[in-house]
Amino acid sequence: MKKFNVTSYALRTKWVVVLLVVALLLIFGRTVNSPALTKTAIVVGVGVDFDEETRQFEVTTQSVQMLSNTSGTGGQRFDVFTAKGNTVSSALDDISQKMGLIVSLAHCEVLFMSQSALKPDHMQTIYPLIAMYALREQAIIVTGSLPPKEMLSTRISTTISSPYFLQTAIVNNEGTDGLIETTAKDLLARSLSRSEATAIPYIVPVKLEDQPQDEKEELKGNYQFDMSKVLVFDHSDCRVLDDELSEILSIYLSTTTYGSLNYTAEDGTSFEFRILDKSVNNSAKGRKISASIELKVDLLDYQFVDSDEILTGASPLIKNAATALGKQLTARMEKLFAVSLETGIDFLGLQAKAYQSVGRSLERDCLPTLSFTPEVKLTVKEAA
Amino acid sequence: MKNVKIQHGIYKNLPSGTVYNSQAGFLIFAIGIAFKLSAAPGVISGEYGSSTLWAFIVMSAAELLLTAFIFAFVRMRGDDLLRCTASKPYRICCAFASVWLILKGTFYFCYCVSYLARELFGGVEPSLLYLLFLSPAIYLGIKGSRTIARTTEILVPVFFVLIVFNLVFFDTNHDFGRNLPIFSMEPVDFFKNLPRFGLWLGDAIPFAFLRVKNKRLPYITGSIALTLATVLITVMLGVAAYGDSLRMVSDLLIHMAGFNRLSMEIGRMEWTNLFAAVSVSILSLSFIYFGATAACDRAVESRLPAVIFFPLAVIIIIAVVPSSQSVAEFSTRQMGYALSALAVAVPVFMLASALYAKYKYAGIYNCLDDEYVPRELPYPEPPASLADNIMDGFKMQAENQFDALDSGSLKAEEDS
Repeated sequence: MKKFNVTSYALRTKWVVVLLVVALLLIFGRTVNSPALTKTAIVVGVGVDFDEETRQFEVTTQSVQMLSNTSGTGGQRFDVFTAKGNTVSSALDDISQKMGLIVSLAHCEVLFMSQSALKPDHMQTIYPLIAMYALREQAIIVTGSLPPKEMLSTRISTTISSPYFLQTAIVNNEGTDGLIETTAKDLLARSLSRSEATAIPYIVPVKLEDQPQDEKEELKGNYQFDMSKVLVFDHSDCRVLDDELSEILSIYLSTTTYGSLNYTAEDGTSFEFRILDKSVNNSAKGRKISASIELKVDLLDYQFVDSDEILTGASPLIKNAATALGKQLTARMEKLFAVSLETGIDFLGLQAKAYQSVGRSLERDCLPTLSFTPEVKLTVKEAA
Repeated sequence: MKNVKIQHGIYKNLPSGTVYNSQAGFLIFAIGIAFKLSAAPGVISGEYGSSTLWAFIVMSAAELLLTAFIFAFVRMRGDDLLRCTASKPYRICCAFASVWLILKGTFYFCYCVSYLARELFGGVEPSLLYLLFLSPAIYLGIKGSRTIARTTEILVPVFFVLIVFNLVFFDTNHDFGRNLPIFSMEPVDFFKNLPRFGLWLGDAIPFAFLRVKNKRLPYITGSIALTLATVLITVMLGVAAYGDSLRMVSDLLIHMAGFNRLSMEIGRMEWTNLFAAVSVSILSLSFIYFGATAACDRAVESRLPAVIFFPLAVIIIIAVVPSSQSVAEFSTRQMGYALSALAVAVPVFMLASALYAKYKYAGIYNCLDDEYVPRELPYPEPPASLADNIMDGFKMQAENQFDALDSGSLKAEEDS
């Protein structure tokens, strides 16, 4: 039997390597600047504004602090900090100094951009946040009627943090009423495409008429967000679309669609359809682009209908209403194209689509030379 | 009855420099995805835009051809034959192969460290990353093919499951049309620029210095097909999701895992592919290192120059060049053309030399030790096994002995 040689066993290469790695970790690990969680600011929302006169960025962060007291009950506190800098990173570093904590955007789900901040190169504005501050590529981009600093400070009655509210609202209600889940990745993908344009939700804070109350007093300064509008933009221009156009654009651009659609006929009858499923097919044949949107809907509600019967999806009246709604939505899509031509902002992505068909010979800024034929069809089904 | 089946669990009985075809299959998958799905998509997208997938398809076809050359060389025992015949051209070719593998390893190392330092370990001292990344690669490389193959065989199935899992649950806004048009640039420029990404090619060259012992299933062919499918599907999805912004993605495999639909429920999922990407990078580097030392052994009959020079090259570059990113960029300029030329020339020359030697030294070729091919033995067949009634044979022999004793024809020996 082979004798067990302790010295030879201990000096085997693998143990030497293991010891070497352990030694390296012990020596270097203590000198490495790895931030502890207690020294890190957990940012839940970040806002970027740009002053075109001074060419400075104003960055605002909303971070969450976990509180605990002697009784063992915890809580949350939301802090808003703002700083200016020639770059987004310098402003964030300034915030870091003000807070005394290291800024990490790893938990940040919402990025507020002012309309002026959408004018500089999108890649140069957003990429440092992703590469250096760990902002998720899935972070949702939004804009609004107020500067990001004020948007982040806005109190919503149901939750203190506006980024929390927006994240939940957009993810859960995507696809209708102007709620488009445009992520940082999507913004960059569309911005670097031939169309160079995209669309993001445009948030309008409205002060609550009736402020919420607790047991003692009325809680003041609470707002609600009107999220029914969309901002379309490219590097040079932007436009806020009205509710009707925003609704159809969000159906066209969103990955998934929830929510409902309303059709009110000329005689005043009103039908509400819940969207069950959608399919958007774009195709380009040279410079002719066609878009087919097929919506599967379920009848949700109807009012002012002159009928004693209980209407279902099989009723001719409902089918006719669905067909009429399809035509109405088609007309809105055509109107969107007209707005796109008028503003020169290719938010429908038509140049990118034409480029896929025509190829590299397609000249830049060729939107006026393209034709667009949309068609929206609704099929009434029963919800599962 | 001859037992020609290879028993599992006898890895330690494998001769040095021999791997099973299953292990080779796992190695092909590891080295096949290591660079192609980490840094390559971002780097190539910066140049090719919507043509990235098509550039990948052309480069994959070239890589497939070179891999076929290498495995044809391995199958005909080209290395053994050329070493037996002391072929000088082969020695020179191996010298070039060794230098090429050292260059490839060094540049690839810089790519790996570049994305690790920039994206994952921002606050960590880069020299620590270099050391922690280099140590296991060097260790595995020095230990040799058996250790690398065994490690790969254990880890790669897990990585494969993780990658497939992330692809199945991939969920983000995407448009497959972003893979069009095929030629985002003039076709001449499309093909002219491709060789700049020479770091891509020649992943299979270290296999030239190994023997492959076959199990029943065609693991190597299957693995090549699976690797190509995984690479092309992932890149297609990457372009569909990112479009031209794919250029900002320094490691596609890790970023893709971030779009796992389960991440809404169970948190960020990047770590799954991060685990795979870092491990296959280390395995790939160690295999390149092993290849460099084996090639050096064939060229100058000593592994030592390559054993020392590979880590030395990495350490010198770390010390001299201010950033690993600049080294990575350097590899895709003029150096890229040189790397591509060598990556194509080495396998072609190896196979041509082996075919010529096979023709010229047919006698030696026929005498090559082919220990795993069953052949007729020169001596009578021994008792095969218990299943062949060997005990019955003993029993019969004993009964005959007793019969002889009883009949008195054989007298029992007396105890002394």
